[in-house]
Amino acid sequence: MDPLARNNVTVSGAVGAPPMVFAHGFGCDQVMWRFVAPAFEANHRVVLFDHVGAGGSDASAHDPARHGRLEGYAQDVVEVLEALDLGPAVFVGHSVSAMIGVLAAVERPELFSHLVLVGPSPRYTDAEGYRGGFSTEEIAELLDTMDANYLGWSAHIAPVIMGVPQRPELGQELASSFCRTDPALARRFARTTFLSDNRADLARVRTPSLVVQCREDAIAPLEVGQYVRDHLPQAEMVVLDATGHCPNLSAPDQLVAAVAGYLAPAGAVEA
Amino acid sequence: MSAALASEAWTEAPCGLLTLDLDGTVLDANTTVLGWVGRARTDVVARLRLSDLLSAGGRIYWETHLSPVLHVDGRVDEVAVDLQGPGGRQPVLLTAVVRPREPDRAPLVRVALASARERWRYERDLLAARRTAERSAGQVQVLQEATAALSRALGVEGVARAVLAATVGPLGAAGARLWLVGPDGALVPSGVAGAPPLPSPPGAVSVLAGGGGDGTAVPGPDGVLVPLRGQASLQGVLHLAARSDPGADPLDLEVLTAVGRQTGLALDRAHLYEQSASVARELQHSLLAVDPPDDDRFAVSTAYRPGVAMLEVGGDWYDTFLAEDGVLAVVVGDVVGRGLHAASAMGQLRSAVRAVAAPGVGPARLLSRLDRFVGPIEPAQMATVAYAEVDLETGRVRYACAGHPPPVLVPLSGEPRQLWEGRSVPLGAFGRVHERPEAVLHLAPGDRLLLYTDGLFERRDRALDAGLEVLAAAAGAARHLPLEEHVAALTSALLADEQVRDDVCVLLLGWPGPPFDRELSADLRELSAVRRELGAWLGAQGADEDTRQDLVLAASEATANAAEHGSGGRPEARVRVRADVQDGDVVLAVHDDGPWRPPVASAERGRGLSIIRALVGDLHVDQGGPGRPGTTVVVRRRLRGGRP
Repeated sequence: MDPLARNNVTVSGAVGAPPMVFAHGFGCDQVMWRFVAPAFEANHRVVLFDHVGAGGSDASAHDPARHGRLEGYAQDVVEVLEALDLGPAVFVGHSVSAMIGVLAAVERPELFSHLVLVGPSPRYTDAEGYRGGFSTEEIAELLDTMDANYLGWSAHIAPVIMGVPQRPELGQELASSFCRTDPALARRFARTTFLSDNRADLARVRTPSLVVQCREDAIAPLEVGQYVRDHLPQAEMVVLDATGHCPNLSAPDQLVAAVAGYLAPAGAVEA
Repeated sequence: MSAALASEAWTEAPCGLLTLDLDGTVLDANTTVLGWVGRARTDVVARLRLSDLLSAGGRIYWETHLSPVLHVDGRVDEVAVDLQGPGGRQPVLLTAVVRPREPDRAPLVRVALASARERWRYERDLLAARRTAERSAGQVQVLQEATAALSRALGVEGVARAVLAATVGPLGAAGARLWLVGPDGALVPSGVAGAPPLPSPPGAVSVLAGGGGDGTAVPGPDGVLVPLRGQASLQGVLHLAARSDPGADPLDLEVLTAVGRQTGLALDRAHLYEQSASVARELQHSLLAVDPPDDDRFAVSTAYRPGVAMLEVGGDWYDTFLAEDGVLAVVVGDVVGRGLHAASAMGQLRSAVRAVAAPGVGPARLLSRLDRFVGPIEPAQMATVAYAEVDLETGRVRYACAGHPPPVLVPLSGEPRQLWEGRSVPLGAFGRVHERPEAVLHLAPGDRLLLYTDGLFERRDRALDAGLEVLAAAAGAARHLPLEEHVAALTSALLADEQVRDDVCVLLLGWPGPPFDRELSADLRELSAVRRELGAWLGAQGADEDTRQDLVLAASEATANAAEHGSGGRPEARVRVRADVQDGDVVLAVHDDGPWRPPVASAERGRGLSIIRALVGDLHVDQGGPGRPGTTVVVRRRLRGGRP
C-alpha cells in the first residue's frame, strides 16, 4: 500500500528545503495545522498527513493489531518519510503525536533532525510516583462520551441535513468534514492514546527536542511537560501564555514564534 | 424587548446559557448553569474554563475534539456531555456558536445547554442496543472465519494448525498453546502460535480435562482457557494469551466458547477420518506387499508413494505374476477416488486381473473381460489399467492400455519411447466395449519397461504432454543405474517439487534376455566376436564396467586354455562358453571335451587359472566324471561391485 495515499499526505512549501512534518493529535486531523504550517512554507518543505482512521486517510488500512499500539502509528510515520525521501525532517507532533514522533525517532533516528513536541504526555493515567492527570475510570468515561456522540463523530452529512447556519468565513466542505472519523476506529485510537505508557522511551531519544506547553492545559498539565523535558536527553521547553490543549488553533502565533525561535539557531533561516 | 427583560430572560432561562472567550474561559453564566454545577458566579466567571465544568470524559472530548472543531467550523451542535455537579452529573446537550465582534475585539462563544436527563436514559438504551448489535455482527464474522478454516482442515494436525492460526488471526489473541487428548487420555502439548501464554499449571488445564467445566471458555492464568469438547468427550484444551496493546480488544469469551465447540467437533471428524484413512492405508499396503515371482529371467522394481497433504490413500496398484509358464504379466492400474472404497475396489480389481489372465487370453481380451467384471462394482468403473505380457524367452511383449497413461520403453541404448499403441477407453466406460486393441513390442536384452500412474507426471501447472516428456527424459537419464536405483532416481526427480496431490505407483521391468551360449572352434578364430558378444550380454544384465572387463578377460583366458590344452590338438574340438545370472551373480562356464590336466603338469594352463582367480575370485573346475566327459571351468562373480 502506498503510505502517501494511506495517510493522505500533502506536501507544500519550498522545494529542496529541509522537510518539516506536522502530525495531528487524537480527535482531529491535519486541518488543525492550518494556522501554523503556512508560516514555515517559505523555508521548509511542509508535510501534512492524517493518521489512519482520521481525516482523509484510507480507513481500510486500519489494522487492529498494528494500530492497537503507538508503535504502529510510528511505523506509519517512518513509512511516509521513507516514501517522501526528503532527508532528515523537523517533526512537529501535537498531543499523542508527540509520543508517536518519539517512538519513530528512537526507531529511525536518521530520519529526524528535530522533534517539536506540542502538549506531550508519555502517560495520561496516574501511576505510582507519576501524575498523568487521569484515572483509568476517567478514560473509560471518555469512551462512553464518545459513544454518546456517535453521530457527531461519524455523520458527515449531518450539518447538511440540519441546514448549516451562516458561517461566512468557512467553506461548506471543510465545515462538514473536519475531525470526522469512523467511531469504532476513534474508539480504538482513544484507548491506544490514553492507555499507553511510553515513559521509558523518552531516555532513548537521540534527536534534539523542543517541548511546547500551554500555561494551562487540562489534558497535559505543565508538570507532565516538565517531566518530558527532564527525561529527554537533549530537550528545551517553552511555555506559551495560552490555555487549552490546542495552541495550534488557540495561539498559533505564539506557537510559530516558539518553533521558529528554536530552529533558528540551528542555522536555518526562519519565517 | 427592554434590556431588563432581556437580562431576566438570560438569567432565568430554563436552559443553561454561557458566554466564553475563544479559549474557553467563562465570561458569563446564567443561574441555571450555576445551579447545575453548584458554584457561585464569582467562583466561575473569569476563573474557570468550560472544560473545568465537565466530567473527565467530557473534558478530554472538549479539549481534543470539540474545541478544535469550534475553532475551525465556528460551531458545534447537540453534543452530549455531562456537567460535574455536587449532586452528581447533569447530562446536557451542548450547542456552541462563535460570534465575531468588532474587528479589534476577540470573538465570543455563545453556549446553550439543554438538560438531557430524560432523553439520556432513552439514548442509553438505544446505545446499548446498538453496541449489542455491532458486537454480535462482529462475533458472527469471527465465527464464520474460524469455522471456514476448521472445515477446510484435514486430519487432526490440520485442525490443530487451523485453530492455532485462528487464535492470532480473527480471534485477536497474542498467542496460544494447544493441548490435545492423547491415546491414554492425558493432555499432550500439540503446538503454539504467536506469543503463547506461559505453560499453565497442570491443575488449571486438567480441571477442564476432568470435565469440571461446562464447556465454556473461562479466564485462566495469563489468558483464557477454552475446552475443545467433542460429541462424546473432551478432545483438547486451547489456552490463549490476550494482547497487551492498549488499543487491543479484549478476548471474547462467548466467541471462544463457540470456536471451542466447533474445534471439538472438527477433531471428532478428524479422528474418524484418520481411522478410516489408516485402515485404507493398511489394506492397500497389504495388497501391494505381495512379492513378484522368483525368477532370474526378469527383474522388477516398484515404488508406491501416498499423496502429499492427503491422508487418504488412492486406488493405485501394481502387480506382477506369471500369466502362463514363461510369460510374465505386469500391471499398473488406478481406481477413481480415494479412501477405503477405492482401496477395496482396487483389491477386487487386482484379484480380477489375476483371475482373468490365463494362457491364450492376452491383453486385449483380458481388458474386455474386466469390463464385465467392473459393471456392478461402482468404484471400479472408470478405472484405468496398463497391462503387458512379456515372453521371458524371446522378449516379445503384448500390451494394452485401458485409459491409462502410456507405458515407456527405456532401451539399453537409444531414447525412451512412449507406447501409444493398443489404447482404449477406461474400464466400464460407455457400457461394455466389445473390441479392445493390443500392440506388440520386442524387447532387446537389457531393455526396461516402465508402467506408472498419473500422479508421477501430472501437475496442475503443466500440460499433460509436457509432463510425459519430462517423465521420459528422466527415465532415460537414469537407465544405466541398477533397476532399484533407477526407480528411486525417477521418483525423486519427478516428485521433488512436492506439489503432488495424488498417490503414485511405479513399476519398472528389466529383461536381461536369454542366457549366453556360444560354441567356438579350437582355432579361436571367433574368440574376438565372442568377447564382444559376451561384453554386450553382460551389459544387458546390468553388470558394471569392472565386472564386464574382468569377466570378458576371464572368459578369454579360460577359452584360450581350453582350446590349447583341452582340445588335444584335434581340429574338430569345440569350446563352449555359457553364462547366466543366478541370484544376482553371473555364472560363467567354459567347457572343453579334453580330460583335466592338473596345473602342475602345465605351467601355462596353471598361469591362466591364476589370472582368472585373480580376476573373479570364485573359481571352480569341474573335471568331469563317468558319462560327463571334458573339463568345465566355472567362475562366479556379483553383477555389480563384485571385484575381489
